[in-house]
Amino acid sequence: MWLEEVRGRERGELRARRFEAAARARRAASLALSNRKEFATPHHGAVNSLQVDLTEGRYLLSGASDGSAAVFDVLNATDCEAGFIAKHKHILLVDKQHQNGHKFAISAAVWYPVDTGLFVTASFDQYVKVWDTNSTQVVMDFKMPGKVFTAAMSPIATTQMLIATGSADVQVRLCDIASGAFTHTLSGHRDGIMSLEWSASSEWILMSGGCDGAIRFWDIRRAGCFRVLDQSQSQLGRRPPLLKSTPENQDHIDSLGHSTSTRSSAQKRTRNSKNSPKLRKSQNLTQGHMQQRLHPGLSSSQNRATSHYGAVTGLRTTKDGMYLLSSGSDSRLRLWDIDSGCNTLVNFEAMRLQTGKPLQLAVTEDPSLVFVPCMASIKAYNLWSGMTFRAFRGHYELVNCCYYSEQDQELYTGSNDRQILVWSPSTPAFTEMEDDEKRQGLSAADEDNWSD
Amino acid sequence: MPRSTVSSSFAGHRTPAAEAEMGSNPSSSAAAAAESSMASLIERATSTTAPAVDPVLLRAIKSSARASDGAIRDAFHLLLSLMSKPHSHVRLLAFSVADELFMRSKLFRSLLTDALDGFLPLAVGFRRAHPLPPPAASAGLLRKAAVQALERWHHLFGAHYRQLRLAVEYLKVSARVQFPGLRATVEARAAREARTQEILTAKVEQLRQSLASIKAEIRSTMDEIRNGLEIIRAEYEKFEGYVNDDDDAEQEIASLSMRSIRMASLMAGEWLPETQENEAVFDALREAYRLLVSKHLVTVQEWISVLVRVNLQDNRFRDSALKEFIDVKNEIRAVRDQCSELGLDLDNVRRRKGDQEEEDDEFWVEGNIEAPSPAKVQSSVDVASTSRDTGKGKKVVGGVKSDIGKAPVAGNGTRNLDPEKSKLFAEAPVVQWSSVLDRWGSSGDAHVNQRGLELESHWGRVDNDAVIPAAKIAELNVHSSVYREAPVEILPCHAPLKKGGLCQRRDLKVCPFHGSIVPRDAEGNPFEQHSGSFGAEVDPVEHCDIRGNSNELNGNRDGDYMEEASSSRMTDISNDYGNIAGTHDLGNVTVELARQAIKNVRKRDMDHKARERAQRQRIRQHNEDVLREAAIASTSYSAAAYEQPPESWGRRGRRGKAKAPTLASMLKKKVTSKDRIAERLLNTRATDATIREASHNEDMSYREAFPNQW
Repeated sequence: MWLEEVRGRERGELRARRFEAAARARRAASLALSNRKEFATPHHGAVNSLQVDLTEGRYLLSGASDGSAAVFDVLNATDCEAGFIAKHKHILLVDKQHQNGHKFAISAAVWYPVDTGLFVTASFDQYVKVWDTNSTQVVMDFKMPGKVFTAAMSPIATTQMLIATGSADVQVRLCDIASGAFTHTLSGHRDGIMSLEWSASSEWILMSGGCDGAIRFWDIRRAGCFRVLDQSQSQLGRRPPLLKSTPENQDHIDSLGHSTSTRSSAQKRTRNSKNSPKLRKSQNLTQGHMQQRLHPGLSSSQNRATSHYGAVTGLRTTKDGMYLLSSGSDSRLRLWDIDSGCNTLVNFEAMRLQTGKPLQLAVTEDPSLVFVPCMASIKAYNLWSGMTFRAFRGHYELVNCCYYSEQDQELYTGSNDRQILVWSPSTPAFTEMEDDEKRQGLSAADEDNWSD
Repeated sequence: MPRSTVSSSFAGHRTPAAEAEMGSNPSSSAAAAAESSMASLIERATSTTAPAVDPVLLRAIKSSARASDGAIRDAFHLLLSLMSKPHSHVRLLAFSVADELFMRSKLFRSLLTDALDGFLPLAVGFRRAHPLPPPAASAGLLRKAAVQALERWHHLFGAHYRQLRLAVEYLKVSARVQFPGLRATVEARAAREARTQEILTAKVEQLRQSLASIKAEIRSTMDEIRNGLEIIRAEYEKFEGYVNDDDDAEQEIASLSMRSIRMASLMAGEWLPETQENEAVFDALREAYRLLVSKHLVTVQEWISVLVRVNLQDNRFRDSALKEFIDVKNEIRAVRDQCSELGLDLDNVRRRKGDQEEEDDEFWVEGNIEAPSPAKVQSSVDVASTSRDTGKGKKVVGGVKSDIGKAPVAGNGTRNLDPEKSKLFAEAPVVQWSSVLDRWGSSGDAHVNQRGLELESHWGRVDNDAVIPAAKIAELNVHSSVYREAPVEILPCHAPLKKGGLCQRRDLKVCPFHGSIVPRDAEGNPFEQHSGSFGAEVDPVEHCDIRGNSNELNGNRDGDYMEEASSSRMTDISNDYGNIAGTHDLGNVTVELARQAIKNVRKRDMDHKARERAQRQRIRQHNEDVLREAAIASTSYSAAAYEQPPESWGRRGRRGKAKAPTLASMLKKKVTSKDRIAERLLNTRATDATIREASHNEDMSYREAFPNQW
């Protein structure tokens, strides 16, 4: 099958992008615990946050409960064990012994999106610190009014460099690295803020999920929140494609798995899509208008809408910026259409999530799979159908975070057992061949050994 | 994907239905026949109470597992479900089967490692919430077996399975499970061994060069010692002759007994006293001896141990060197024994040295302090000379030393010999320790500030010349003691008991079980009865005498009460005897004698009572005297106790001020100027108030009287 695709590409039957997407999807589908690559954890506590830098895709930043943050080189191993096990040791570590280190657990560690010269750590000791990577010194710190649960920087921003921070306080604060001050305090939540996510399509839009179960959208150029997601306001399935429904998409909707409603919704969808796009546009316009009018205070009913029963523990947008995934302490994963603000009602299969901690979700770059830390395992769900695709078992304690590296199609997961595990695409036959080459008779061959 | 089936089939939570589903896995359809046999085999293997799996069954399981992959899959799933059974023994047996398969089948390994995070808690039980199930013995075995197996797996296949590495690391670091670490310890020991061998070989190489010099050094030291001993022996022979020749010449040894002791010690030790002329020899000998024992012997022993432990390819040098060293060691031992036979031992040497140094130090310090005072030039010069002339000093010290050595021997003799002193000792009162002893016998005044420190007291100025007059001190030192009777030992009853043994009750006069207490012999027969049995024939006077004697004995032992009791009893007894004697038709003389005896006894009895009364009187008198003295001498509590009229104290105090202040007067409240001022202030305030009130009243009455005029 793989060879066929290669041949198709050779013949020019397959476009380059499609070929690439197919390759990526295949690799993403074959993730397994990597035996070739491992991170030697320097942490003495739960790993709470993982992120690979956005510029090179090479440096993994991890933040842990013992107040330490470490940077690993993902590409180049520091040493090799038994000939073929690449061991990645940390190339930078700041912990409690550091003169400016955090006193308590680091809840979030994020790279400065523009280069790897800076990173930001948020900690339960109520500080958000900005570090110079090269000198491992604190450049700037911000004192928050409570434990800081999360921090986020916009990956696409060009005009602002704000760190959005969510803490046990009800306000979202935006810290400006340039001035060293809070530029915004966004109030609206009725409880602490567990998760924050910048929009992937607009650099001004910030989304926040609070312990009060609400997900609020903020336009940082204007006062107040302009949208509160409501779990009862729903649209069925995926947003209809704007131009025309391709046969694939039809298939996809059909494969959603709902027996009767799928059929009807599909029909509706097709009918809708067959209807002129004008209608939809007008709908959108009216909606937008209403929104405009409503905005400053929002009507009280809308203002009290919730998206989860319980706290919103994790938020993640898809790469295209159209959908938002949220996880809640009600052990639910919801997929939201950002544009309409509707719950898409994708039924993600039964899962059990941690309730008291921010979770870090991961989505593949073509939004097809979402990785969710479910207690001691990580589950991969099909984003559109909600079906469980795989469960990744390997951690011995609760998993807090996962990060999907688009460049290498690798999944990094951090857990309470201090480990950072690498899940990489595995092609068993291929790796075995390599193993045979590299093995130097150091350890027993992994083969059948029937003595009797 | 085959992997999805693997990962979805996960430990423990599997139902039989799922089991069946897994069983009907298409991949295992080929082994459908084998499946049932595999299932039944494993069931049979794990449903026994035997400590281990039956080897025949195990072989059968292995052979059927070898047949097909499907069988292995089935076995894996079945074993997983067995591992989740709430019974440790079942788990133990299942685990041993799994271990066998894990070591052999690659497929089984890949299956198990993928499910390892669910499998391990069931086998090791490291999760607090899910400990291993009940049979505790099996649980212990299971845990041990699991940990050992995991270590083995990790060692063999760790490179191929990240899960194994993770599991071991997690158990070691996070769950803190103790791994037996057999391999690690063996390796560590080997490494340590290698390192020590390296060091030892290096040492031996070093020895190869320095062997000759070491031996030469030791030899020379030993020669030195031998020479010294030779010299001493020669002198000793001379000395022996000297001792035998003129005994009388030793004037400094005063008494005969002392001299005999000294002679005995000398003869026993074959020891020559150290004198001024042979001092140099002794010093050299001591030096050499110390060198030999503390340095050479130790080095030789070290080298021997090194040579014994070292492992060389070429053992010739080692053997020869070892032999030589052992010879040298024996030689050293011989020399040391010789020395100790002669009484020259290291401790002795050291002590002498130490004393000497101490003395020197003291001299030096003293000289330093005394030097600046011009009045004592003479003494300081004296001291300086002693400290400078060490030889002389040493000699002095030696003399002192020997004196001290003799002292304990002589002490007994003198104490025994001096009758005057012993008499004084007998008379001397035993006084409890107190501060009185500090100034015993001195009758001068004492400084209040005894320590002579210049202290600025915050209570006020200190008069450094303040003196406590001698009279006052005598008053303070009046020593009171309450008479205490000598403790009386109450004798046990000692009447023979029915069950054997003697009655151990201690009563004053009468034992409640055996009547009055009588002195008895070892078997518990009373002396009186014993004598009384043949007393009929014996002269009663003699009887009385005997009784009197025994009585006295009794009295001496038991004290006054006993004496009284026994004596009264005895009169009765003797009366009886008198009667008996009368009835026995004996002569008048004997009757007379008996009466006389009784009279005597009664008289003595009376005497006793009178003496006793007098004694008590004396005691009472003494106690009263003592108490009164104490009361007069000391403080208020005695005054309160004896209710002396307070005015007498006051008089005493006021009059005594001229002579000497007493302790009691100190208790009297002094009216200070402060008090006087306070009183006066209070009075003035009171008068002010009364004046004000009076004027106010006046005012009020005025106002009332002339309401419109104010």
